[in-house]
Amino acid sequence: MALALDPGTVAGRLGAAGYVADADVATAVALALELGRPLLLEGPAGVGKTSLAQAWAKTTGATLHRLSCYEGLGREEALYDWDYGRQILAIRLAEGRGAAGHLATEDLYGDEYLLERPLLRALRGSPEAPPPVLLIDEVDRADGAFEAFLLETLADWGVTIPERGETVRARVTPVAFLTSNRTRELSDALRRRCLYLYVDFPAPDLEEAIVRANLPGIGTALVRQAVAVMGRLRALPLLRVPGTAETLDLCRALLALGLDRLTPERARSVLGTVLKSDEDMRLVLEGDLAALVGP
Amino acid sequence: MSVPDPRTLPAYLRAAGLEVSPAESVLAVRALAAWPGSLDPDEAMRRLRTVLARDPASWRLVPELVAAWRRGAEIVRAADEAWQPGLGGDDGGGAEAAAGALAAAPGGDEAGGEGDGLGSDAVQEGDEADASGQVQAARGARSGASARGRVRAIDASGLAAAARRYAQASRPPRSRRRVRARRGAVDPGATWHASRQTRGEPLRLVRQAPPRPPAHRVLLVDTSASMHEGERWLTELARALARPPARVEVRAFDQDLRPGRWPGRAGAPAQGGTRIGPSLVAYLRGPGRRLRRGSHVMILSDGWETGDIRVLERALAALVGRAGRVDWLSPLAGTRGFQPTCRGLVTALRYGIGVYDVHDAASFGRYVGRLEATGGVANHAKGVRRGG
Repeated sequence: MALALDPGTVAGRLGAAGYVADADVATAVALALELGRPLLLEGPAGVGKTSLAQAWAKTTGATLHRLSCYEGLGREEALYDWDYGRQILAIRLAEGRGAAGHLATEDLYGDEYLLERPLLRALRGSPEAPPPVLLIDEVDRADGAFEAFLLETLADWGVTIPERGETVRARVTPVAFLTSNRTRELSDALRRRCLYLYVDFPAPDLEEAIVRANLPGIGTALVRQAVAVMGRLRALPLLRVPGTAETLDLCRALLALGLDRLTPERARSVLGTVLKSDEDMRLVLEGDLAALVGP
Repeated sequence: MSVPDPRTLPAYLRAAGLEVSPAESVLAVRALAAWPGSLDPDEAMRRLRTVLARDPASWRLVPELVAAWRRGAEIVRAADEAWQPGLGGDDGGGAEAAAGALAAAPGGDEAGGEGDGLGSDAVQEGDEADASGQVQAARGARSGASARGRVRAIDASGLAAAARRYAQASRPPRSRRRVRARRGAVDPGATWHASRQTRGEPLRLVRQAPPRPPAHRVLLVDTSASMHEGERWLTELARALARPPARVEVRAFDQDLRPGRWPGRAGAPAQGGTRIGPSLVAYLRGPGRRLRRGSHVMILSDGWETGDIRVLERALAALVGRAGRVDWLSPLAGTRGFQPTCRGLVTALRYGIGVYDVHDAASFGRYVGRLEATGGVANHAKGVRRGG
């Protein structure tokens, strides 16, 4: 099977958007495009799951529809809601005109009262434009009920609006990315509908390339040292392991401070860019900072 | 070496215990249609992994199995399947339930070798590969544990009753009353009534608070060798608690123990004890991020910590800070002359975590009675003495 977009091309296009993709990522995206399946991305926080969707939207010029999941997320926040305020005003105006009895259902559930949320916006994407990118971020934070609702949408790429007796089907299949940090096990039904990609912490070479792609002016020695420091930090039993995003933050901080190398004294002041909890900070500061920073 | 027919791969994977649906089979065959003619073997492996994997475990397992299929490895059943309880009564699914062991075919010259193409790296990296070329795919193989436990007969009905009582005792307070909030779904009826009272000026939307999340209960099971003695009973307890109405999230620290997902004992020392601290840290990094004030966490362990005690201290401090109530259930706590002197329990007591004897249905019932008497999870006062 020859893919419409081969992994090399995908990697190149992602690279143009500042996302350095390895072969696994490029193949998974190419397959997701070819098979029209959502891509479920799992892995530790800060390894580039969300930014993959953003980079693909950027490089294709597509609209990114982002749905950030949380506990209690429902259809109203994900799919559509009604502008109740305007509906009530319309009823009162009709009452004032003495025409309330003539109001039809269509008058109150027209497009002007429909508040589109990310899922519906993605389904209503224009066929002339590039396929919209739908990012369902941290889907593991949503409830099981929302996951069940998502199954229907992802399987058919269509949703029903019962108030209008209408089913909205995608005119162009969105490129869907689902991310999860594995704080909850997703159902097998959802997993079965998706292609899967596990994004782990990058190898040092790849991480150096990512830093260079995002911070073109940074010195080679500094990048190498920062990546080595992050590797040593990840080997510690931290409660929150820093990801690539934190590596970039560290490098940005070092650049902002005008440093060309990291010293133990300086490390103490910039650790806040990578460690985000008191317990982790204490563990590192009580350890050997010179060994952490390296030669 | 001749390459097997790609159409045989899904059946081979199923036989090895990896759940592959017909739809995934079609996808896999489509992904492999041009292989091995024009498609790079590594690229083919990446495609297969993307299509067939569903979680990190199968993400690692698929390359191993595909490499074994490629070299024509034979599937044999693991000798001892006793430690594969299938918590929900369904023992059939999931990569971890791969009850088979793949033994390399005699004379197979490519086990983990260079230039093998598919999966050679994964086989080299995996801890299942050994010098004899055997690829151990079974996750549940048991390594010869003793069957002597404090419990000789399992009272399943008693456990189920205790689990029901537990569900009641740990239930957060609920109300059918609609609670107004600044955020949430609009309540059209209440908005209408409010607008009638003010004649619509100014129009104010009345919103309802989102529904209360269901109770969040977690059982962290220590599956190390020192806990082998009561393993059948632990399994039954986990099974009873995982079912409705309790719906407890049962985990071996960071590993999910849903049906068919009981993990092996990789990394657990054969002589007993485990590194509870790092295991808790792994849990807190991942699934533990969902803990909230109303969460009830039970750690089922004998407390035999063999790792760095400072790591356990930090982990327990974080756990107590995040969850509503943390209890330590020890199967040994009720034995004659028991003293909480092992390092895990000493540390737990310092952080205000109660240690309870739970080794059978009756003792679990007594523990639930304590929960009921102390007002369950919501009214639990934390007596945390950080590092005290």
